[in-house]
Amino acid sequence: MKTPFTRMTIASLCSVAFLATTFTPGFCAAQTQSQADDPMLKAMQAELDREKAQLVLPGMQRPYFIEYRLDDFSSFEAVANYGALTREEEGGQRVVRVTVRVGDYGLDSSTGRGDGSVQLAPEDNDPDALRYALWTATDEAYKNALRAYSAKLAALQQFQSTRTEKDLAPEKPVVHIEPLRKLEIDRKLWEKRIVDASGLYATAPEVGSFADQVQYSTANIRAMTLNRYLVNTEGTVLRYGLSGYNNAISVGGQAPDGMRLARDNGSVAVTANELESWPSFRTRVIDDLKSLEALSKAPIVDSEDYHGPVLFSGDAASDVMNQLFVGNVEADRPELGTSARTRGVYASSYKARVLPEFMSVTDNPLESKFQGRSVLGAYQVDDEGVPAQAVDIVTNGKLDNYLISREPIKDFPSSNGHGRAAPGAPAHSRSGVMIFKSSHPVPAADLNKQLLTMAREQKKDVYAVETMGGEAPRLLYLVHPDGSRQLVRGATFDELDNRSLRSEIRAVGDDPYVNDSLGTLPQTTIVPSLLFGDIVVKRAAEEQQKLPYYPPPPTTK
Amino acid sequence: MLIDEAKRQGKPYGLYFEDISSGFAVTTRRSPQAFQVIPLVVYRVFVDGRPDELVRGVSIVGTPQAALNRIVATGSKQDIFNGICGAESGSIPVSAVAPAMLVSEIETQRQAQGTTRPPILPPPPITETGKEGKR
Repeated sequence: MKTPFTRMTIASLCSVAFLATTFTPGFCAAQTQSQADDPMLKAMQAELDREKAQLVLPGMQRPYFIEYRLDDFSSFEAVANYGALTREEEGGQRVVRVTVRVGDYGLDSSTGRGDGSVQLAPEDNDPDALRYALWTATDEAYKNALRAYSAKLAALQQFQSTRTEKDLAPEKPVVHIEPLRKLEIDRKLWEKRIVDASGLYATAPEVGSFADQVQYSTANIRAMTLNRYLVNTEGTVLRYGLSGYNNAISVGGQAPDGMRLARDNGSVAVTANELESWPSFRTRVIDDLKSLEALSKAPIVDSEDYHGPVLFSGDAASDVMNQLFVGNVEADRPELGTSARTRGVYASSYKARVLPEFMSVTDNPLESKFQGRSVLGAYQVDDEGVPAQAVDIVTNGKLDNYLISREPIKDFPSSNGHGRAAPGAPAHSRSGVMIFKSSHPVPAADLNKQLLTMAREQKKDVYAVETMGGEAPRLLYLVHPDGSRQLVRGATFDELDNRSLRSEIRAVGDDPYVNDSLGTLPQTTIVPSLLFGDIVVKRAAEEQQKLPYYPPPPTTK
Repeated sequence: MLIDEAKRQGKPYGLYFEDISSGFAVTTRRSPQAFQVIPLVVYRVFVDGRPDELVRGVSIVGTPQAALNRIVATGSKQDIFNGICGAESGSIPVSAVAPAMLVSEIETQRQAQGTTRPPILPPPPITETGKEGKR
C-alpha cells in the first residue's frame, strides 16, 4: 500500500483509540449456553493452552500466569443541537488484552501500571484470526514481562526492605457464563426526543421569553454494550455482558455581567427502557432552562468568605463523596520500596475514624437494584475473575476495609472482588455500588429545620446546595433564618476536605440519592443529604468574558 | 540509460526505486529544507550485466532543489499517485502524476535497523473448520 507523501510528518499508522466510555452491568434472564458453544472462548482457550505449554525463551523463565480478555464493544450515539440532529454514529470494536506474568505469585514482573499488550480482534467470530491476534499479543507481552521482571529485580536491590505482600493474590478458578448483550434502543424514537429536547429553548412557551439568552442547547443519547470474555491459566472462564444507556441535556449562556452559566443533566440506566420517559425528559429540560434564567438573574455570592453550616442534597453530597472519599478507599499499591499501605489520603487510616460515628459505608456490587431500580455499578464477577463481595468499608465511622483487586496491599492479602477494568485497559481496584448510610437518618424536612436552627443560633444566613457542576456548586441557595431562600451564583467551596468529612458532618438525611456514573467504568455511589457544620463558601475569582456582540438570529419557526 | 549513467560515473551499479512507502519534507522556516523518502522495493542494477539485486534498508535523503536539478531524463509513461497528505492545512486528498525519472545523483542512507527478535512460537494452526465458526 502506498502511503501519502506528507510534508512535516509521516502520516501516523493506524492508531487504536479507545473510547473512554462506560458500561453497565445488569441482569437478563439467564439463558444457558455452555462455553463449548462459543467459538471465541474456544479459540481463546486453545491458544492459551498452546502458549502455556510451549511459550518460553531459551534460558529464561516461563510465564506462571497468562490471562486473555476479549472486549467486544458496541455503541450508538446521536447528538442534537438547537433542535436539529447534528451527529449520529454507530461504533463497534473488539480488542484483546493479554497479560503475561513472569516470576511467581510472591514476586513477579508486574509494575502496577497495568502490564500486558493489546491487539485488535476480528469482528466476525473468526477463531483463526482471533488466535493470530492472541499469538502476537502474547509474544509481545511475554517479552515485555521478561524485561520488566529483570528491571524490577534490579530496582529492588536499591531498597533495604521491601513489601511483604504478594504481587498477585492466587484465586480459585471461576466459570461464569452469561448471555451476550445487544444494543437495544429505539433509535428513531430517541433521535426525535433529543431533537425536540434541544429545541425546547425556542419552542416551549414556558421558557420562550428566555430563548435569546441561551447560547447553546445540546441533547444526546448514548447506548453502549460490552461483552467481555476472559480465560486465564488458573482455569477461570468468564463471559458476561454489560450495558449502559444515557440521555442528557446541556444548556448554557451568560449572566449580564458575563459569568458563564450552565446546566447539564440526564438519566442513566442499564436498559433503554429504564431511561426517563419523554414527559420527564421534557420537564427536566424546562426546569434546566428556568434555572438557567434564575441563575442569570441571581446575585453573585458575597465577596467576603462565609464560614458556617451548609446543607448538601444527596445529589451534591454524592459528588463530594466521589471526589473526596471513593478514590481514597480504592487500594492502589504504593511505589516499590515504600512501606505505605496504599496511595491516597487514607493510606494510613486503617482502623482510624474517617467519618462521623453515626455513618457507615458498604460497597456491594451484588446489589443490582436499589429501591426497585437497576443500578449501574453492579456486577457478579469482577474483571479479574473474582466473585463480587459486599465490603464494609466504614463501620461506625471507622475505616475497616479497602477495596482490593488481585494486587493485594498491607493487611489485605487477597482480593475482595473489586478488580475492575475499562475496555482494553488493565484492572485496578474500583468501587461498584458504594452506599453511604447513617445509623440515625433524619427525615429531609427535619434536616432543613436543623439547618435553620443553626442559622438562628449563629444569627446569620446559611447555605444549601442542590447540585454541583464539577467541584463548584451550581445551584446554591442562601437560606435566611426564616426559611426563605435566595439562589446565588459564582460561588466555590473551600475547606471541603477529608477533615470536614470526618468532623463536620452533623446530620445525615433519609433520602439516598443514586449517582450512576458513566465514566471509564460503570460505578454507582449512593449518598443521602449531608448537613455540614462548617464549610467555607467563597466567591470564585473567574474572568468574565464579553457577551455575544449580536443578538441570536431570528427564528423562522 | 541508468546503466550508461552509472558507467559514465564509474559506479558498479545504479539504483532503481520501484515503490515507496512514504516520505516527508520539512517546510518550516526554522528548519533545514530537507526531505526523506522511505522506499519499499529497491534494486541494484549492475553495470556488468549481473541480474538486478533486490536490496532493503535504504532511504533517500536530500534537499528538494538539489535533487530536482539532477533529473536527466524522464519516461514516456505517466503514473498516478493518489493519497492523503498532511501539512499545515491538515490532511487533505492529493494526486500527483509523474513519469519515471532518471536522476544523475541522489543521496541515500541506511535506515535505522531493528534487531527485534521474531515471535518465539510459530503461529497458531489454521483450522480446517475455522471458517465455519463464523456467525
